[in-house]
Amino acid sequence: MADQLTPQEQNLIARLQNAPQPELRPEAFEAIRAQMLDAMNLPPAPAPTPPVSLPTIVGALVVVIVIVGIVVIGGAGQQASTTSTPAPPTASVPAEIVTAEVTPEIVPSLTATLEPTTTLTAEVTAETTPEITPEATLDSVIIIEGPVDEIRDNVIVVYGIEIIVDPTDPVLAVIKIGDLVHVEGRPGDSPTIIIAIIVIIINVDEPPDNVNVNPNTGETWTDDGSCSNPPPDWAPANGWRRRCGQGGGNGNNPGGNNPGQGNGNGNGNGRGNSDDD
Amino acid sequence: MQPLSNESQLIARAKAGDRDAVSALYEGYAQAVFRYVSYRVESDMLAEDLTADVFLRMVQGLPSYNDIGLPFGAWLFRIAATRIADHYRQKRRAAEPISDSQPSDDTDPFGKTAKAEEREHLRQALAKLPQDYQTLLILRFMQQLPHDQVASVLNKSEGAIRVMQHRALKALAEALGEHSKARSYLRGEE
Repeated sequence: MADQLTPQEQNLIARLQNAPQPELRPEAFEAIRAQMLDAMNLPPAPAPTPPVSLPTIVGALVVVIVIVGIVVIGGAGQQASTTSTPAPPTASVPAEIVTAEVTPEIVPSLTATLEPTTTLTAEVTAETTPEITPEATLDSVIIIEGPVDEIRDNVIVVYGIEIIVDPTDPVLAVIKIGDLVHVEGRPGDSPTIIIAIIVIIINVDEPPDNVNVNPNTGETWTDDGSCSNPPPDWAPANGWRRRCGQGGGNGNNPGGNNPGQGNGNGNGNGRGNSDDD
Repeated sequence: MQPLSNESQLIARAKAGDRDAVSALYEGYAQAVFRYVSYRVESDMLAEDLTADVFLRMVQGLPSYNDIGLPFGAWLFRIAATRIADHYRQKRRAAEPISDSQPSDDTDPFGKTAKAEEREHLRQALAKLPQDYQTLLILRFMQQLPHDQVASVLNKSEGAIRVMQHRALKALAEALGEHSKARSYLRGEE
């Protein structure tokens, strides 16, 4: 499959191929090598460990709930003593931490197991339920529409807001600066960063009318205005087909220099009405 | 740009901590990475710093590099592209003046030679294009990488690269045209 390139494109490619090729200075070359080899001698930096991972927190919470449940159920006859000792840690510690990730499935188990009990259950449900529900259900979506100001790898910028797009999103192959986009996403690490969920290009500038690009292969076909250059099957090439398709001559040949309105017979023998007649 | 002759062996040895193998990989790719970076940033000094950073990351990433088809060179260029994007992101956050139109700080001290001038023209025109276009044009035409390797660097399909190439060339032609017009204007030409 040969890409059809215009002479201008060929010239530009030749210019790029002949562009000056800068070289690393010898001293810089050696300095980088030394720096790199030095880095091999260093012990690997300890990976930063998060203070407590969320799965650990959730797991710990489940364990606490189970323990509390066992204590509550097993100690039904000794309610006075259980309410005084285990209640403070279970009520305060997990309630603070749970907020981020606890899934809604945990809520029913909490209420189901703990509600029938006495003061202990009252404290736990009061602390946990209001915290969990909003976090689990609130999944805020930001919608932004506007022109693409900048594209850097998989980051597009609209009105100064950086939108991080999945690197495998096919939209990245077609999006260009100036395209109007509709983006739905969720907040990123900072107020000016959005993690894109959906990116839709509202208007896409197509290549010039006379250039057809096969999106599957990248092959191009250019309508040079002559009927002797037929388009491949995949190219819409409406202009060529209208001009040169079966059933219409172009009226150029018999009509003299100026193109006339052809009454073609499908064999290219159109009669033109031209000024030269 | 062709892979090194014994590249797979070198990678395996380098992953095992063999300094000679790491050094050989560096020798094989250092200039190519530097050339790519130097056309993406505004000065050779900065290009040297970023090139050093790329190879430090190479050393750090070697243990997790899996030789499963992604060419080693493509992996390095991908590190370089990411590092350059980080550089521009940090630069913008630090609100430093954009220096796209500033001349290189280490150009020929005895006056610009034709080569240095041509390089600066191309660099400035490339800087006006989206980053993916810059990477594609530099790797595809200056470094002679085949479509599939450029596709690996940019994490896109080969078909997408072919379409993008057409657009990138068009954009570069426009950028170079604008540059020529500006130069003619400054010289007082019509």
